[in-house]
Amino acid sequence: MKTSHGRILTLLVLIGVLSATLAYQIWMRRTTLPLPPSPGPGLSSPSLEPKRSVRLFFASADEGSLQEEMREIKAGAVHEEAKMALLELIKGPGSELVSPLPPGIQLRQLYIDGQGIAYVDFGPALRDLHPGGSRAELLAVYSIVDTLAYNFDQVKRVKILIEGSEIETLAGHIDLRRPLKPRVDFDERS
Amino acid sequence: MLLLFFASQSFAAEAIEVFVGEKRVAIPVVAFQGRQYLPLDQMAKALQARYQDLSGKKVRIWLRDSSFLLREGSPKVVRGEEGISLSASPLLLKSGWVVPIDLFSFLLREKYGEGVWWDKDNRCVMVGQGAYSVRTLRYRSYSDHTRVVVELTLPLDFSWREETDRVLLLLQKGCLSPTIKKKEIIDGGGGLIRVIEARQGPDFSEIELSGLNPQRAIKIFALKGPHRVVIDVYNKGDKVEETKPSREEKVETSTAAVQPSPLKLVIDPGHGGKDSGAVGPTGLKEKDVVLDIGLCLRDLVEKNLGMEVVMTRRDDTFIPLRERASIANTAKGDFFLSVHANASLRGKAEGFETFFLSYEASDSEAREAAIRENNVIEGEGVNPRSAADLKVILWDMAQNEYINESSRLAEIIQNGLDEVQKAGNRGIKTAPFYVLMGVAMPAVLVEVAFISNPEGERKLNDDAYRQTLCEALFRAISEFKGHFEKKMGMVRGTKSS
Repeated sequence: MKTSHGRILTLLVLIGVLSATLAYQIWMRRTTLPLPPSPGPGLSSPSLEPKRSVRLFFASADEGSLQEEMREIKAGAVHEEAKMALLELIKGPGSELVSPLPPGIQLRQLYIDGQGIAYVDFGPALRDLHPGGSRAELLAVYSIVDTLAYNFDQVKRVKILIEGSEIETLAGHIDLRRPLKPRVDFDERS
Repeated sequence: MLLLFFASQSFAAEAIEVFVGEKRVAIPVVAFQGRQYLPLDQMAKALQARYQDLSGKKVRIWLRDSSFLLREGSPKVVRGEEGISLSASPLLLKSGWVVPIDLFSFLLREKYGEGVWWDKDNRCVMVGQGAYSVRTLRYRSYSDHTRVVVELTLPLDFSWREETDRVLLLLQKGCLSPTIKKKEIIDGGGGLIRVIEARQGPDFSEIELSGLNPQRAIKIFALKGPHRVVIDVYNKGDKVEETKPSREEKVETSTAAVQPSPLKLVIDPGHGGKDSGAVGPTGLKEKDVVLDIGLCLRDLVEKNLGMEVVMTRRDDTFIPLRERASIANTAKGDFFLSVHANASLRGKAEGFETFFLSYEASDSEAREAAIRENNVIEGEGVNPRSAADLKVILWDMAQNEYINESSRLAEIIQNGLDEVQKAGNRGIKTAPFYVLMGVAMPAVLVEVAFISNPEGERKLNDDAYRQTLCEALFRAISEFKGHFEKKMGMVRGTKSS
């Protein structure tokens, strides 16, 4: 008798705990994640995704400097946001500005270390399709560096890699062996 | 990260070595699907870190005050709210956890901060090593003797051995500064010494003077303030006892004779060989244009300015960037001009601009970053095993002391071009140009025009226009030479000592 009573008690307690947990979970879901008003058929609800704006750096129309264009990206972890900002940069400008990067380049990996250096790994097209010329190279390199460093406080310097390896330059001019600090203007003491 | 890059280039999965103070720990590398991993237990031991297996194929590593969470199948390391991406995901094998090799590099930095570096040549990581003890090696020829001075950071025991045509100086516990040249060939100076070599042994340094006249006398002694060992080589018959150690300083300053020699200009025509540089809309190549201008400039400078000219390339040859600075430095050039033609993205840009090395590449923050990046301990805490790495950095910082002169040269070059071109003066600028980075003399890079727009290409294809540019550069070099001689005249005689 005693054991049978014990079993029933255990079962009751178990059921009680389970239903309490379930109720709690349902309650939690309702209070912390209120369901959005049900969208009509065929309508999505993009407005609910948290977003942030980033400044992308493209070449000016006269190809003499870098200029900003604002763009919205999905908010998330820093390195996810940084990747998205670069993907937007690769897509190119939506205005009269000029894309400083060769078309079709691949962003492979991005890593931000504890010292504030962002390591950005690109596919070979960034180097191989580069038109050459120090102006074009400065614009390409610093569009990447500036886009990362001016949008993400964690990024102080940027190091560009190709296929996971360190490279000397993109087209024979700008030293990429070391991480670079951002700059928009290439005039002396700017 | 650098650790990873280096290691991934090596196919053989050798062990890596960690030196913590005097202790040596070897960690075997596990190669798996082309990536390199370290067994977590051994890595943790080397770092004196703890770790604990958690359910759900997770593991937590404790290092100092931080903990790092890893999960199989995820390349992310989570510390608090921060996520760090690794090159690969950790794996839970039968033998235990293995982690991507870059996690080790990351944790090392976490633990030791700046006091850690990766020795690429020896494939080992060194932590908290001591400083070098042999600071500099210099020599000077006097009328009756040649003096070699080995400057130390602390007094060292030394001994020497004389042979027919050489003398070997052994410095116990010597550790050569990476800035010391391994081999120096001495021209002139009475021919008392032909070659000075510095070598690093396991716990001693060795200085060898060779090519000595068998008929010579040698005097070796130590001096203080700073600590140094002096080797004087005399022709036999000269009075050795005339120069007493106590008179050394006086002797050094009073006999600093100025030997006038022609100034040397290094001309570096950009690109070459397989590297065409920028290409114009109808196919004109930057490498051909700048070589033509460079050779023209060489002829004008040699004929009219009484200067020596060193070309980094005389024909359509590919010369790596790194070698260009080396050619200039080996030739002991006085100033360096790299000639380029520019290109932009859509061929819209035009004009000319002159660059000197950016302040970024020379400021202290950049220097620290460079040192950090190369995993080399800062300041004098240098071990000979990392000498190669540090040398690269110091070499790269060679432009530091020439920034003012480089800026002046850039200004003169830019003004020179401005006189012959009606429009398009884009001014002087700074940027971290690779080719200027290691040049130990005033150095600039000039972009004479844009080859990427049709009008610019047409002009650069015209002999007369190139001649005009060449003459403008020549006049600028002539002006800078005057300025340089005025400014450097006093210093020049002491350059080689």
